[in-house]
Formats: sequence, structure tokens, C-alpha cells
Amino acid sequence: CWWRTSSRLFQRKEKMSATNTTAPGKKVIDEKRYDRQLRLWGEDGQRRLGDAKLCLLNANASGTETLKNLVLPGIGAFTILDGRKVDAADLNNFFIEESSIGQSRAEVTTRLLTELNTEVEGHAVSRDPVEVIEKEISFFHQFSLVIASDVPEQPLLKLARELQPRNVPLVVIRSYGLIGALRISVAEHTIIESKPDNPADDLRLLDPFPELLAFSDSLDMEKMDSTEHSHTPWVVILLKAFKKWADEHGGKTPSTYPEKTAFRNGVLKEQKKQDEENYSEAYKGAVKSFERASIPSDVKALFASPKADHITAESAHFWILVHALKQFVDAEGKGLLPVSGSLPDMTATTDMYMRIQKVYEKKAQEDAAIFGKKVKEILQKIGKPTDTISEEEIKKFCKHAAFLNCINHRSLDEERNPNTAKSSLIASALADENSHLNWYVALRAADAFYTQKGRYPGDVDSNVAGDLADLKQIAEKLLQEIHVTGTLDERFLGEIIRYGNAELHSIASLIGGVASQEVIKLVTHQYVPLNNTFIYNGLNSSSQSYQL
Amino acid sequence: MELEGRNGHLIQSLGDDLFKNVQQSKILVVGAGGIGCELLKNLVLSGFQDIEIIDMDTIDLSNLNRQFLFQRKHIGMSKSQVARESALRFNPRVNIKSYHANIKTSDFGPDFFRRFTLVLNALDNLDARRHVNRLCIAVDVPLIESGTAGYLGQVQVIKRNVTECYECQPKPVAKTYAYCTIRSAPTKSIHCIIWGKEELKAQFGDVEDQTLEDEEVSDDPEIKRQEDILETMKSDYPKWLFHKVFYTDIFRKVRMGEIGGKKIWEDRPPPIPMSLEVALGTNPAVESQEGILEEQKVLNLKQNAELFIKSATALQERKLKGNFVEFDKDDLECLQFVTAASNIRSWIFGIPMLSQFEIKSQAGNIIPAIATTNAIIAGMIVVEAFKVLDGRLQDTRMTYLAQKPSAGRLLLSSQNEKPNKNCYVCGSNFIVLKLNTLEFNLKDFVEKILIGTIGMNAPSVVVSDALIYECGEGLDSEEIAQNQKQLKKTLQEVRIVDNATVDVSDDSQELKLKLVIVQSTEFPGNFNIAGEVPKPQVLAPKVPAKTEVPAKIEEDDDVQMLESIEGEPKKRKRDLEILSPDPKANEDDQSLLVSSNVDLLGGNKVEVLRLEGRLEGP
Repeated sequence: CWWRTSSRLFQRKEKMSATNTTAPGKKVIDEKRYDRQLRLWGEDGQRRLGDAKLCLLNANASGTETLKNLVLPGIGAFTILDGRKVDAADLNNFFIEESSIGQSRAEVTTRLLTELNTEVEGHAVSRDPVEVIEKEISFFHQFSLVIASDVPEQPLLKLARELQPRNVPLVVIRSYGLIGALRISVAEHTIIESKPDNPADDLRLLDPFPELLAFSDSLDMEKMDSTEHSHTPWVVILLKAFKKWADEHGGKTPSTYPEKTAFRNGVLKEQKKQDEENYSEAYKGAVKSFERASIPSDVKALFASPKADHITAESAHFWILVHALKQFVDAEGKGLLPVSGSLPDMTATTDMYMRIQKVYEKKAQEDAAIFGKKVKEILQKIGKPTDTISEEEIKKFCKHAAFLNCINHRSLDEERNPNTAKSSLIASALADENSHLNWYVALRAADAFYTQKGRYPGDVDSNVAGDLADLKQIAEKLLQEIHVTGTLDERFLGEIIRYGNAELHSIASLIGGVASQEVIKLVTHQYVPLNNTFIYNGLNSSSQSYQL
Repeated sequence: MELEGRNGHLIQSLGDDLFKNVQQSKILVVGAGGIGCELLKNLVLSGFQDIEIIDMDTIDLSNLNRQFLFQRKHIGMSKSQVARESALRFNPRVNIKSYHANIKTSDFGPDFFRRFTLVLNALDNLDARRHVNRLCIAVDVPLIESGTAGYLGQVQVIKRNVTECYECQPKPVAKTYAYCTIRSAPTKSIHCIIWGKEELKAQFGDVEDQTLEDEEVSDDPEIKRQEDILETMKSDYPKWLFHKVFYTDIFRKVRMGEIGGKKIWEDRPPPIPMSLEVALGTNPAVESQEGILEEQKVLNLKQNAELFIKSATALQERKLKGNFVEFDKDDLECLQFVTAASNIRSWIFGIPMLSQFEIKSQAGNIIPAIATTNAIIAGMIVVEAFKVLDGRLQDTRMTYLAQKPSAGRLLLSSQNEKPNKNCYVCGSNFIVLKLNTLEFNLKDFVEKILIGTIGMNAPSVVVSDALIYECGEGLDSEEIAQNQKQLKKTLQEVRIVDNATVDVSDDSQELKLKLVIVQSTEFPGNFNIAGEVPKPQVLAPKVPAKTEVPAKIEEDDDVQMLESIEGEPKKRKRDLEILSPDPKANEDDQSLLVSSNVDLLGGNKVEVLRLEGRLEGP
């Protein structure tokens, strides 16, 4: 195939207005060191990482592993809050040396973690997290994200209640024998770059805007020579074909399967010679083009939110932008989002590709200008300076309008409250021994055991048989409280007792990997994070996530 | 239960028996990169006492965002040695032996592998993976294979006669590009990048490489005149080189099209010859690139021309000092040369120019790599290792890490597949090879087929009990001379003919194969292999059942990026057509074997049991 033009070059333009790397107060990104990850989350993602301030409660193996994976890619700063002294059991943690037994665990791990990346600021606070939660909860207000490990249930709930209204993400991690668990809670996490796996192209072939239609009409394929004919973008071929079909079918579009097949075969018949690449692209592209452009369900859900309607001076930028977007859709957009302006690679001469690219790009710029104007009007209305939201931010939002998303995690209290707990989900799990929720119930029972007795079942110097009986009782009570009939299979509890809150390094490493991955998603606001609980079972190497 | 210090957690969760097995095991870790670092850490903290680790690489700055056993001060040092020292600092009670070496050398043959209870791969390339797989199958030591790419990863347990081996499913093959596309008719950026790399090798490398030279000699006065002009420029090498490749060679191509009556440029706009003066004189308005990271800027033609002269001058100085250049994406002058050369050529052929960042990615086959994924995968490797050491092979799983949960699952695990009885490594040891025995010489047979495609290391070839070729160390000069003579012969001349059975063996892999030869003129310059037990006369290839096994994911850094077998339906069709003459088969008979950058997710479904090889042109 000849002349397949890449859209990459043109995409660069959007980056050209990005923030200046050498602007005062901004760190210069070490491009060489971060080369492999810049290819994943870009400069914007790297900057957001660099601006993040994290707090870890308890530097046990899973907590330290999580931080390690965040220090390496260059998180801005972290604080380890841990009142313990290092003992022999801590030697399952790679960032603790034998010689540090007896020293502050916060200090030892902070020192060794900062060795990994000197650009990262590390602070050690050698105080018991439970005590800080109880006596000085405002300590946590300085952080943009909190990771909790090995914090007993009641203080954890108190911490969650403090972070929830401030919209600070809480990530709870757990590595318990061969079981690992993760719970994320953030009241509202908005995402502009959700980066779906297979995003649909925004080509508007069934609903062409006037300029696109005019461009298509201006090309006369009959009069083209063979080179031009075989290098006319497939988008144009389809635009013409849809128009022709509408003329012949009373303004309709192909809707039934036989109609669609006839349409596609009709497209191929327009070829001047066999195997014109652009025609086979048109034939393939037709499949996705039969659907009219519409507003994705995630974006519709945003429009339906009361936050998108009631804009005040306190509204977050995201919601002001959503409000403006909604206005655009209702007015100029005629029910559709702004045109994204990006075009996939296709067979075409460079000249032809650039011409059609310009048509889309121009429309996208016009739409973005209208959208930007609306944003400014709204800002004015709520009494804020019109440059409160930067041009850059407006453009980016507009460009990704089809991929906006918002996640509202249920709170830890909602998970536990008998009126809001996912009782039927848990009840059905008890009947299925393969369900990971059995482990969830078992871990909750172990937590309740700790709350009662100040130690974990099967822990040091304890009576295993006695613990099992107690744990059984506790699990039963726990299930009753959330109105679940049925009992947890004793084998799960037996296994939990066997572990006795032991942390296996490889499970800690795995959970630390998953947790840090989610933290990166949360901090960069790229990709959609887990919602909201992840459970890993090392007995059979399987995992499952649930909305609890 | 008393927590016994360091191992308390472990004894409690694993139980005494498994813990003892862990302590008594002897583990080989192959690779000390992204996964290797995580893995070594996990092992020293999981009760393992006796570990050996091997890696041939040294530490680079771009490793430090994930390979946490290394720091800035270690740049340039041996990965395996530094990894060992860093790990011992945290647990001095473990025996670790490190080798700064290539696993494919003869020091690490079957006897070396036999000493281990379990081998853990943390590799970054297909070649070494195949090699280790063969040795583990040969000496029957269990192997755990792994790989990561960006947010994706996978772990697989391999045991002879119990599970699939690494080669039971066909692996993605390196993408090939036709010579003529690279040399004369590039249509994509990647073609120009490959050309840039070839040009680098030809101009500054250790070998005389004529790959890119046009052999067409012309008496055309116009061409002659241009060649004479070029001749006068010889005193200034970088300027001469610029003029040669971007003006004279291009001029010749266009002119040959005009005068030769060849319809080369009928279907496409002709390229535009570009002289240095013109390139430096251009100053096209460029949009401000303020604020973009330095390497992500796309240079204009003038800037590329300046970069070309600057890097060519530097590389020439190195060559004159006897320091020959080989492409290394982390060697700035190399990268600058390839960037400039590729971009100027792109301009000439009307292809968009790219940033150095993007060209580095494509030229160096870079896969994004982060700590998080490696941590998850290394954790899973140890979990699987526990099962193997606990004698629970039936409980081991093939596990994939996805970018985000699908149906609630972030980790997708499946039962191990049974061995493929047609696999030529762990199953039949049979290969049907179709090729033209009159055209192939023994050298191509050995280098392209046995080494290049079948993945042998040091093959020996026996036909009807007669040794016709021997490779390997310890040959005397007479044997070497004999080999050289043999290599020039056609297969026919060494009795590798239709229906012959060729015994091929490689002691370094303890692999013995039987190749059944089928004489065929259907694919001039090509050959075709299938790992199937031959049935008399019936050679119609069978279409294998659809499998959902994702293509192997390569480990993170310095990867030879592989392109998966693409476009299933097309490929299948092609597979069925193998027995009918393929009119296109000889169009691209000269091709460069080059890897290419692709989305690994796109190659998830591997369906074809056939590997197609192409013969590199003379």
C-alpha cells in the first residue's frame, strides 16, 4: 500500500501549547530516567505524579512495597506515619536491614526508600497512626492521597470519614497470608483521559457537518485518474455512498442487515480496479459507521448529575466544564458533542490526508471556541475571573469530551451499614466456595476479632482451636448484622487462623504492585481506577473485584 | 506458634514442609532487569537460600525508574553483580551467585541447568526464552516464564510432559520489510527509520555493507554528471554523504524512472532530491514548540540537516579512531544520526517527520515499562514457584495481568494447557520443511532456517548417517575449512533432497530434530516449516483450532519487539493457500528482518501453527 499517512505528526500540535518545562516553580522532568514511563502516561501524567503528596500509615511489607513502586516513577513527596520499632518479623520487608532492629520503622524505611530516587521528598513521622487519627486528625489534611495498611477497623473508619468530604482518595491495602486485598475510596474521582481500549473514531459520516459534506461533494471521483482514485480517503468514499443511498432510499440510511450488506457491496463496486486499498478500508470502516454519533452513556450520566446543573463559585472546574458541555450539546451541537478533530491513519496522498484533516480540525477548533466561550460566560456568571480555567484545560476537556468519566466510590461506612451493605451479593457468595467474597467475610471477621481482643486470630501464643470457635461466632454475628442468612464455610476461617496476620513478601509485593498501579491512575487522572474492592487469592492465583 | 524472626511469617503461611522445600531448593534466575530485580528481592525474602542469577547487560539510566536494585552510581556496571550485592545487603543470609554473561554460551549448557530445582525466566527477548525453554525441557527442570509490557503482564509454568512448553504455541515472528521498500520506495516512517539504521551501519559500522546500494549502473549523461559533482565533494565526508544519499541517489532513482520507461512513479508522487544548501536554506514557519519536552519536538528540515552533519561528523571521528559504531538507542550520536537521516528521507518521500522521542521508540523497539507491573508479575512468579515446590503442578496456572478489570478480573488465570504433541521442541521433534533444494545453499539452510527460524544455537547436520556440517566450539582449522567449503554447496549437492530426512542436533540445547524435506519451487527464496508429524503424501496443512492464548509478552527493556502474526482470517487463508502457487511470493524475496513496534494487545490471538521464513537476499 502506498502513502499511508500517519496522524501522529498532527497530534503533536495539541502538545505544543503544553506547560513550559522551565517555567519558574516547576520541576524539570528527567526525560532519560523516566523515558519508559513517559511513553505510557506522558508529560501531564508525570507532572501530576510529581505534584502528589502521599501519606502511608504503617510501613509493613505491603505498605513499603506500594511506596517503592511510587518513589521509583517519581511521586512528589511521601510521609511515612509509623510508631513501631523494627523487630525480626519486619525482615519480610526489603527496605529494612537486620542492623536496624530496634530503630524507628518509619525512619528506616523512609531513608532506604529515598535512596531509590533522590528527587522524591521523604518524611518519617514516628508516631502511632491510631493515636494520630484519634488525637490529631487534621494531620492528614496536607496530603493528596492516603494509603493505609494494618490500621484497625475503628480508627480506619474515622480516617475515611475525615477524607471522604475532602475528596482525598484513601487506599486500604492488606496482605494476609496467601490472601491480598485492596479497597479504594474516593467520594468523587473525575477523569478526562479515561483511555478506553478501543475508542471509536469521531467521524460523523452519517451526520456530516456542512463543511465536511461540502468537502466530500467537491471531489468528483468519476473524473479522477487512477492514482487519485485509489488515494481518496475511505471517509470520503463512505460520505458519498451514504448520500447516494439516502437519495435512492427516501433519505434513509441502511438499517437492516441485508441493507447494510447491500450498502457495503455497493461501495466495493465503485472501485476502478480490483483491490483498491482505500475501498477495502471503506468496506471495513462501514461497519462502525452505521451507528449515528451519540453521547456515550458515561457522559450522559455526568449530564444527569445535579452537579452539572447547579454551578456555583464553589463548583469544581470539571463540573463547570460539564455544564458548559451540556449547554453546547443542547444548542450548537444539536444533540452531539464537539467534534474531536482527530483522524485515524488511512490510505491517502499526504496532500489529500492533510486536506480532510483540516476540515475536521477546523470544525473541532470552531466547536472548541464556542465551548470555550460558554465556559467563560459561566465563570462570569458565578463571579469568577474568566481565566480561572486555562485555555489548555478547556481544550483538553473538549478534545476528550467523549471519554469523560466520574467514579463515586461507596464509602467504608456505606459498606458496613446494615441498610446499605451489599447483603445479597455476600449471601450468594457464601453458597459458592469459589467466590472471593468468602475471603472478604473471613478478613472482616479477623478485623472484628482484633477489635474485641486486641490481637489477630492464630497470632502469637494463642490457642488455635479456641480462636477458631471465637472467630466462627464473630463471623456469624457479622453476617447477621448485615442481614445475611447463611454461614461462612469453616475452612476459610481455618486458613485465616493459620495465617495469623503473617505477611508473605511475595503477596505483599503483588498487592503493593496493584495498589501503586491504582494510585498512579488516581493521581494522574488517567485510566479508570478500580471500583472499589480487589481480592487476590494466592492459593489458586485468582482475583476478583467487587463494588462493596 | 512462635514467630521465628525473619522466617516466622513464612513458616506460618507455607507450613513446615513447603518451607523446607523452599529452603533446600536451588534456583536459577535468568535476567536481572525489571522483573529480575523484583524477583530476586522476593526470593531472598521468601526463604530461598540458594540462588544464581545471570544477565549480560550493564545498567543504564533509563532502567532506574523500575530496576530498584540499581542507583545512579551503578550506571555502566554489571546488572547481575549489582543486583546480587544490593539484595545481599538486605538479606545477608542467602547464597547468591551472579554471572555477567550470555545464557546462550556453552558454559551454561545442560549440565549447568541440571543443577537447579527450578528455573525462573525474567528475560527480554524471544531468542533467549526459546533457548532456556529447550534446556529446561531437555533436562526436565521446571521453568516459570514471565513477561511484562506497560500495564500488561503474564506468568506461565512449564514442565516437560505436563504442561505446554514455551514453543508449543507459535510465537510472534519479527516483522519483515522488503528490501526494495527500504531501499527505493518507503511509504511509512518505519521504512525510513530502518533505512537510517542501515545507513548508520554501512557508513560507520565495522562491516562493508552494500545492502542499500543500488546496483543499477547507468550511462545516462544526466546521472553521470551528478555522479561527477558528487565525486568533487569527497574531501568533506559529512557533506558528501548528505549529498550522496539525499541528492545523487534520489536523483538517480527519479531519472531512472523517467528514462527507463519503468513505471516506478506512475502510482505515486516522485521523491524530491534535496541538497544540503537547499535544506539549510529552508526556514519553513514552524509552530512554536515552547514547553514541549526537548526530545518530543519535531525538528524542521533545516534543523534535521544540521543534526545530520553534526552527528555524521562525530561518528566519522569515532570511526577514524577505530571505534566502529553499532546502533544503540542510548548512544546519543547514533540516535541523532538515525533521527536526522530518517526525517530527511521522510521529507523527500512526503512522509511526516517524527520527534527523536518517537524515532527512538521505533528504532530501539522500546516498550513502556513501569515498576508496578513488574512487582505484580514477580509476586505471581513466587506464588507459582511455591506450588511447584509443593509438588502441586496441577494447581499452577497461566495468569495474565490486564490493564483494567474485565468482568471484575484484573488477573485472568487459566488451567495449563497439555503439551502440544506436534511441538518440535517437547513433542514430535519432527519438522516438515518445504523449500527449493536446488536454490538454497547449506549456509542459508543453517543460518536462516536452523538458527534464524528454528532458534538453534550451534547446530550439526547429519544426512543418512553422514555428518555434513558441524557447528560449535573446539573445531580444528581443517574442520573449519571443510565447513566453509560445505556451506557454499546447494542442498541438493549435500544430499538434502526431496523426501530426505535430515537429523539436526544442537548439544547446547540438547535438542535433536528430524527435518523431512519436501522439494518445492512454489516460494522462490522462501521456505515453509511446520512442526507436524509427516503423513505420507498428505502435506496439506491443517488449520489449528482457535486458541485464546495471548501472544507472549516481552519483558520490558531493551526488547526485541516482535510483531504478532497479524490479521487472523487473512493469515489463515494464506495458510491454506500454501500448496497453491502464490503469485506474490517472489515479489519481496529480498527482505530485511526487522522488528517493529506494535500494540501487544492486538496480537492476542495466535492461530497459526506455521512459521514462515524468508530468505534474506544476497
